[in-house]
Amino acid sequence: MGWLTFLNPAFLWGGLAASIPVIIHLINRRRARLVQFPTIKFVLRSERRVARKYRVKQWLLLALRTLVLFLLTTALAEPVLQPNVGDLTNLNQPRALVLILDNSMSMAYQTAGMTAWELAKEVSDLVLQELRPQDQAAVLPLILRGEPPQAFSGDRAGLMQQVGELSQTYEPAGFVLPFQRAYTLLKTSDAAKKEIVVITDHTRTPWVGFEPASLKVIDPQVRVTVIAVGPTTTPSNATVQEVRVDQQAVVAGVRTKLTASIINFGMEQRQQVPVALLVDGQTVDQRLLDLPQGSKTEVTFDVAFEQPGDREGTVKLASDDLSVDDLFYFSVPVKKALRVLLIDGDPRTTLVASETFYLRNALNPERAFGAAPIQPRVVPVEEAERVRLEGFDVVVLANVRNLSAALRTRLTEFTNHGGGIWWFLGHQVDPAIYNRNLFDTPTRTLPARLGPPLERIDAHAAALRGLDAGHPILKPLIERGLDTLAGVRVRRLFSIETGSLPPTTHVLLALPDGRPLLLEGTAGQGRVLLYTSTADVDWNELAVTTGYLPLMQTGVGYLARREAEHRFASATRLPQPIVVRLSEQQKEALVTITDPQGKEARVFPLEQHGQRQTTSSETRLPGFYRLHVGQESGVVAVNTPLDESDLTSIQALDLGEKFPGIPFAVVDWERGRPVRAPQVEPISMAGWFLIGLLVLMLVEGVLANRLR
Amino acid sequence: MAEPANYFDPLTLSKLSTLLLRARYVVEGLISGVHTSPYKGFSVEFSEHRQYVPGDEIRHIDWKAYAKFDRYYIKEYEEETNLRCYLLVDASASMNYRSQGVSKFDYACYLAAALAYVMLNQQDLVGLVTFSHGIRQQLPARSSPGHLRAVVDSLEQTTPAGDTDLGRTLHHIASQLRRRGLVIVLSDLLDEPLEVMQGLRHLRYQMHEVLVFHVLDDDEITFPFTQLTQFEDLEDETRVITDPRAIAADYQEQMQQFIKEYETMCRRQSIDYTLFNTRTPLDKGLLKYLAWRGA
Repeated sequence: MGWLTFLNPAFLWGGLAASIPVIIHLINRRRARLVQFPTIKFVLRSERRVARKYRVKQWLLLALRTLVLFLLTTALAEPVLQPNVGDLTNLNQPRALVLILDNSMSMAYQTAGMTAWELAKEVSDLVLQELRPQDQAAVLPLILRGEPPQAFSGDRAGLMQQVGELSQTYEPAGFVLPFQRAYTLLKTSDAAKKEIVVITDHTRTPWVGFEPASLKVIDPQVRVTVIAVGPTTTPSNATVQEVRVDQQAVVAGVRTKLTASIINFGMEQRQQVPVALLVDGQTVDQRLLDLPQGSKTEVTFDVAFEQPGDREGTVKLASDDLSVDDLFYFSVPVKKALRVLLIDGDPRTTLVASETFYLRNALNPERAFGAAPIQPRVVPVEEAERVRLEGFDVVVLANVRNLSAALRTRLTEFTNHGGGIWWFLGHQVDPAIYNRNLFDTPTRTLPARLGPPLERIDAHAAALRGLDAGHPILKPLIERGLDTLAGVRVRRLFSIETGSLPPTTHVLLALPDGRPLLLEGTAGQGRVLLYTSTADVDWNELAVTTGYLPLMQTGVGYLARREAEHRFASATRLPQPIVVRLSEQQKEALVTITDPQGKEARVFPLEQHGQRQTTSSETRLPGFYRLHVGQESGVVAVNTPLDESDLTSIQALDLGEKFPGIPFAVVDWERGRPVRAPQVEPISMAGWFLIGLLVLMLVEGVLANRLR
Repeated sequence: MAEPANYFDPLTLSKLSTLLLRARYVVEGLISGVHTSPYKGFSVEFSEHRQYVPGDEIRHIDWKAYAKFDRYYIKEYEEETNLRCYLLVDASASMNYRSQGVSKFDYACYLAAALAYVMLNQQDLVGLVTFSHGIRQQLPARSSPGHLRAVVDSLEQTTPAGDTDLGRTLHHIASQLRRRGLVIVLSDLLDEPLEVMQGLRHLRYQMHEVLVFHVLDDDEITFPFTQLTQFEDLEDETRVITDPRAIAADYQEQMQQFIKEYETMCRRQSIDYTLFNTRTPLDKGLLKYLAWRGA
């Protein structure tokens, strides 16, 4: 349908003439002459019998005459029926048209063998074909590469070529900026009629937060037409929200749990959906999942990465109509082994008497130094001064009396690169020295201020209290039951000045009386753990409980993990760039990024927040990006934007509410149907009105004749 | 040469000064046109003999004829007594309607005066009753020459007013007229026909001869109105606004039915019914009377 407009609207004032018959009727009624008449009873009887029917006919006649006059004046105003959409042919007035083409990711949705993007281009051609010589148009993709058009063009072929050269992106869309550009561009046009035609799908996402009133350049005279392609109802679509590696650092050969969160954005439940896990392109696991509509489902894979290095993982969902988001890419830095430096502050001549004896056995119980996932190396403090800490993931200090300034500096650098430190205390530890050198300094590596040691000679064996059940260190223990930490007798430990705890420090384990036993904090980019008693059995019996081994292993893994994550950059979603953090040593390094299509590009570092980093703007495709920083390399996964996977449709009515006071129309277009308005000339309705007028006059004549 | 005035035309007559004059013009005009005198048989004149039959009064036996023929013959006369006529003129408000110069009441008065003139010239006795809701004025039947003046004066002094209760009034008059005679009712009869007929039947029951001169205006018969009109009743305040074109046909049909009903009912009661449109020349009424008188 279209809307009715008038070429000579001034004639519509003549519509008042339609009231003339009514006025005449009222005047005649007032002028009814008075006759004194004897046989009024016959008049009354006739009035009752026949005048009612006559009066109905009279009213009908009155209505007909009113309608006749109304039609006459309306016909004189030359009514024309305007098409609804893309109306480029409104009479002879020149028009300026901005065609906004949605090239966001959701347009990759397939329907009837074609993507919404292909349909959109088809509709664009139809709209542009209807341009008349006096019309001008500009093509504005929703996601623009390069400069926006600065002027209109009347070259239809050129405009259609522009549309043909546009490509679809994997990026999210928002209509605020394109409308801003369109209104700005339309302001430069002198055309009498201006219009913005948006060709998009039915998804709600790009309209979220869109308020034309907030656009400073809005022109309420500009007509807005939205041509929506694709299905009008919300289609089914599922995607992976995230994949997370549970708990520990990933070590080659060690089974690791990967949890994938899958969202079904559709309105229907999907059953028995195959979900596959691929590592380096090989399927290693597959599950069948039921995906309830509109909610998130988690699936956990148990996988062992055979090779160290950055492994390319992919979670693949069974293909649906929006296939681009069915693959989720993630990169897993797999270590050959966790290297742990154990600095023994109280080495003895016998291993069993050494401070680190239990620690070393707990971390590598099989003592298989070649292939063990955790490879501890025990050194005394003096030797530690000479060891390169960069070769280790975690440094454990057990009952160390004092640390030289040089070692403290190296530890600080170590944590700044994400390395983790685990402090164990003992009789050699002087809390004043620890607090001064390790806590009360800008480069703090101790998570809490130590108090004096507490003697608990008569302490009984008791269960430890886990204060954060969901913490990665405690979670495996709690899943097995906290009795693994039961029966621990702590005879001596350092007190903690809990009143001065930094905000990043948390107590993870405590004695039944509440005294902290294990605390977690941060230092630089790394994590720090503080055990307030000894690593061996001198002050407590933790080392001889069943919970000791898993606690030490998970603790070390926890401390090392962040270092692995933060080596280069985090995984990202389009269109966010890849941000590469460079160390001081890497600041002069050559940084290149190779995209999923194999195209290599060099990126240059820039300073931000006092830290050198490299930002890549070359992330236009989802997939694995290979980073080369000097001699090192890594893999970063880039995925499609999550919002674009939400294909929830927006109703035309809701869309209309976004354009109050603006001439606005929505057209649901399907392939095979013409875009009516651009193809149809305005239809003059004056002839029909005149035909109607003649018919009414004929009826009026017959009726009036019968009434005589 | 000016056309001679038609003195049977009510409109022409209305221009004459007095009702008496109008009556005389009507009657004299009619008589001069007929040539032969209509005045006959009202004196005690011999008419014929017939043979005596038992039951005849002996005093009517012609003894001379008996002497000649030795048979009894009865001597018959044209008329033995004068006619006693009562003119009943409706003077209700509805009679006041006029579409032209002559109202129904005027027309009835012309007719009544003319009839009185004729009758008194024949030595008949003429009485007059004007009525509306009841009897308004009543003159006893007399035949003196000066009685015509009294009749005419009475008519001239009467103004139509009040509603009609014709049926009851006729009953009342019938009960007052003891001696049989001719009763001429001049009215628009705008009352319930059945009740009116009850009254007329009462007159017939009293052995009166009854003539009904039904006087209606031309508008009442033809309903010629065309514009939107507010009709108001002459006798009460009933009002109605209507488009006359819508109801004209139905009205005319009702009126014809109304007239037909009176015609039929009068015929059944041996009452001579005549419809007078106020545009009808007045001689029609006189001729009707004379025809009846001569029958």
